Amino acid sequence: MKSRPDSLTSAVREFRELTETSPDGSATRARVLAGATRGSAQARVRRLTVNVVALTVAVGSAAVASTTIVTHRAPTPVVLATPEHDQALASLERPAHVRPVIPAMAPDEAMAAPPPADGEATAYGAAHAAHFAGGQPERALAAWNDYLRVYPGGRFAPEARFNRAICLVRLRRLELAAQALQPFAHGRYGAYRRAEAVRLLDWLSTGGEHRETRNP
Amino acid sequence: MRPTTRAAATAPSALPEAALLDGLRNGDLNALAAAFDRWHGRVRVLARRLLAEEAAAEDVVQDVFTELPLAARRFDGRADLESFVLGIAVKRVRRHRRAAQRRRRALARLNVMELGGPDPERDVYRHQLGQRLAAALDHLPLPQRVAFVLCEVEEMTAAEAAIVADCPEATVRTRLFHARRRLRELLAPERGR
Repeated sequence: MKSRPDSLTSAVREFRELTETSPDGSATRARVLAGATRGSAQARVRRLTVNVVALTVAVGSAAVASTTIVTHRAPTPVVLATPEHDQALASLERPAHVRPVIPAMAPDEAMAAPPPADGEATAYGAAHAAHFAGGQPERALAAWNDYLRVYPGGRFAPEARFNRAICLVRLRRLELAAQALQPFAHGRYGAYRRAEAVRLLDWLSTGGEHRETRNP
Repeated sequence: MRPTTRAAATAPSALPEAALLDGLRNGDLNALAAAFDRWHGRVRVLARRLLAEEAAAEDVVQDVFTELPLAARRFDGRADLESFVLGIAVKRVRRHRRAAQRRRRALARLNVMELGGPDPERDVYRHQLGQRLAAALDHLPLPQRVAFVLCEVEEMTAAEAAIVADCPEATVRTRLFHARRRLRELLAPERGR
């Protein structure tokens, strides 16, 4: 092919010569290197952004997990069976078949008062002691109100609100108790105490109707 | 790319191929500069021969060396690095081919040719012959054009062309056969002039 003396061979030779000169390419070189540098900077920014987002997600997840653990720790609900509870429930004239589930009234390990590391923990500890050890629902209610007034969004606020509702039940302030239980029943705090709140609300409404029908 | 000094990035480099490859894979700007200095001329000439347009060839050069650091990670060592770079150029030519053809036709209508431009001092016959082949190459399918340019113009063996074109050697030979036959047909009317 290379030595073939036809027009194609000649044309190839001329075409080769026409096209073999080449500019120095300095402008393209500068663009390539600048692009590589810019790409490197963009890659670093992307990596940094990804790291920041990942860190934010991790911290957020940890905070949520921590909050969940701290604020949602609660005693295992038990069927009301103590003489005190039976007496309280009997006084509400509930139907015999209703057996609501409400939190235990004795402190257990999970409900032990948190260490008094700060004012919030101290206030919570005082209300906790009044609620579970004092046997005085009015005093416990006042303590929960005190806590919630100072720390409405505190670490223990959901638990304090639920315990406050229990105090209202025990004090037979049923309308206020129902109002206090509604957020739990509607899932405002997720699954936390939702089932208990629903059962208590059902029991409260049934008990109210029962009283009305029995005491028109 | 790792940051580097401008002086280092612009200095001519004679890195061994293995070191060059490692540098490219690691995003070393010095290695990219060295690769550009070593192969940009070959890439540009090949692109010009495949596209017959200076501006499009320059775009191919930029594309090839922009892609090279990432592409180098795929390099398996079956061929030399230069063939690998030229193979990237062949792939990039496909992107620019149609645009180059459109521009060239427009220039042809204005009686201005891209390859070197009008030059009264140039041997008219030689210039026209080369230009006719450039125009005839436009009538070939790109794979045939690639085979013809690599084997006939770049004077590669079929085996070397197969590596660059990323196809079997027998395919290169077949494409070359058809390309030659077609080009002779296209250039034949010129013989009688």
